[in-house]
Amino acid sequence: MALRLLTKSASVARPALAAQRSTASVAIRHMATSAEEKQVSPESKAQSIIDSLPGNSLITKTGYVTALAGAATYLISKEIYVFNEESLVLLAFAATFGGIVKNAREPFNAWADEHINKIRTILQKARVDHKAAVEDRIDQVGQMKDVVDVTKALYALSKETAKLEAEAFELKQKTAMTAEVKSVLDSWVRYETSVREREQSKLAAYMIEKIKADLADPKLQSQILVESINQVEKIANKA
Amino acid sequence: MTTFINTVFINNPLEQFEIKEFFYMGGPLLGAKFSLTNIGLYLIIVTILVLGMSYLSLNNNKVVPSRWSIVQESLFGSILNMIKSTIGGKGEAYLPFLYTIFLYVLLSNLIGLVPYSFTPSSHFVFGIGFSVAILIGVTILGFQTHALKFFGLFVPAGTPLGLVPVLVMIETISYLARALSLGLRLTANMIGGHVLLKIFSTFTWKAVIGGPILLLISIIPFAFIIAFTGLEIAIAFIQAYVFTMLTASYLNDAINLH
Amino acid sequence: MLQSAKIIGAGLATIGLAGAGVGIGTVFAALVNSTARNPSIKAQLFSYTILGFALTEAIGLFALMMAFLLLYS
Repeated sequence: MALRLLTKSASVARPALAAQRSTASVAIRHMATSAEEKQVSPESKAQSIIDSLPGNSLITKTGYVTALAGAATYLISKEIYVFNEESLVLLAFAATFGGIVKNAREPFNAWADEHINKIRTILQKARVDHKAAVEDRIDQVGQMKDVVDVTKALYALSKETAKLEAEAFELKQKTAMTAEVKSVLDSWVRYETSVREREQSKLAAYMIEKIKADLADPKLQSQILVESINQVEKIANKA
Repeated sequence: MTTFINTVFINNPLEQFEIKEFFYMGGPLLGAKFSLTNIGLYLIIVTILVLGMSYLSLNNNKVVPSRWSIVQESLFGSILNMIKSTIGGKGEAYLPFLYTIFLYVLLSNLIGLVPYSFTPSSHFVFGIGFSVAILIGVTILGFQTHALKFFGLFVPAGTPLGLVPVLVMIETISYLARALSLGLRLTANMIGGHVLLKIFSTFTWKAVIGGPILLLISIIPFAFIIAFTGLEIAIAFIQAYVFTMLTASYLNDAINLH
Repeated sequence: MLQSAKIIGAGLATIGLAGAGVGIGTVFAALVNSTARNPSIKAQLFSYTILGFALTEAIGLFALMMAFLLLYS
């Protein structure tokens, strides 16, 4: 608490110092009569100091300042907070730390924001790229959206072809079989024919032998002769 | 003479490093005394700070870092770079160890700079405890990796045979002295800096309460105090970095044998 | 008597800081030299310099610590 009070009172005291300094510089500039730089009028400076205090109206602001000053005085007078060499260290630390914060904040923020933005842009770019890639893929796939029907048709076609091929093969087999059977039968027929021819030639030879033998018989020769005379008579009668 | 001493040195500048007990428990039953001292309290605070910093830098597991996590990331990156340049690829396994040491030592150094506080790293038990533990661990690691070849560390390459006993003695001593020097360097730096600040502020305080003219003059030493505070902040970083770097180079000796 | 001896001893112990001063000067002189010769490796040189500075400064602080030990023990 004491620390906070002290820092508060220090922050209260610092603008006052600054105001004093600015009034001093104003006086010097009046002496020098070369007021090139922008001057801050004491009224506006005081107003800005008053504005930096907490509270809404002037009365509450005065109240805060009075309360803080009173509390600081009380703490110091009752020796709850003792000013000693450590207070100097505190002041020096506050000054150093404040200086570091004041000087390093802007560059650090800029650097950090740049870094964050770099990462963010990389991530967003990656997201956009990914989206584009996915859309590309969707398009590619979309071109093949009737692939099922085509495949089905192809499948049916191939099935049909296979069936036809099977039938053709079957027919071919049948043809081959028939040809085989036909050749077998043909050979059989040829064999039969040759056998019959042989038998007929045998029979004919036998018949010729027999007829030759019969013709040699006189009884038959006379019978034939009678018969032929009869026929001749019949023809002659007719004529 | 004594009056001179009394006026110049009213307070012992080493007084700020005194260890005070806040409370303790113990007694006949426990046999030992368990106490919370200021160094214990500050070590606990540092631990909480390290954990808290690391927890905050998680940034709710978001991919895009916050400003806070960028600081940690860059610290992490610089430690990683340092390890890569000192140990090489094999050393990346020790990155968490070295990073933790760096953060812990750095915050112990920095917390001492806050006024009215206590510097845990200004105690030999802190620095030398750390360095002895590191040296023991590094030695175990070396024997585990290289077995008896680890003794080759004590014989530099290309030594004439006659010099070997002497050199082995010297190297052994310098190896063991690391345990002391590593912690001593950190602690001495911290003590030195804080004592310097204390003495300067004591002198300046004498001037501040001395009178109106001295008060005006005391602005000059006060500026020095501010400068020393800045220097101390820089030294806190440098010493933490050097501590980590030397630990890394000792690890390098154990892993790569020179 | 003892007090004055202590103060004298502490003062003598700080002589050691001269060496540290020379050392730190040498370290940074080397940094300036090497940066002038090869500015492209400035960052690497600077990290080595910081290491060298810390090591040298630590040696000086050992002397300072001796002085404190003499003064306050």
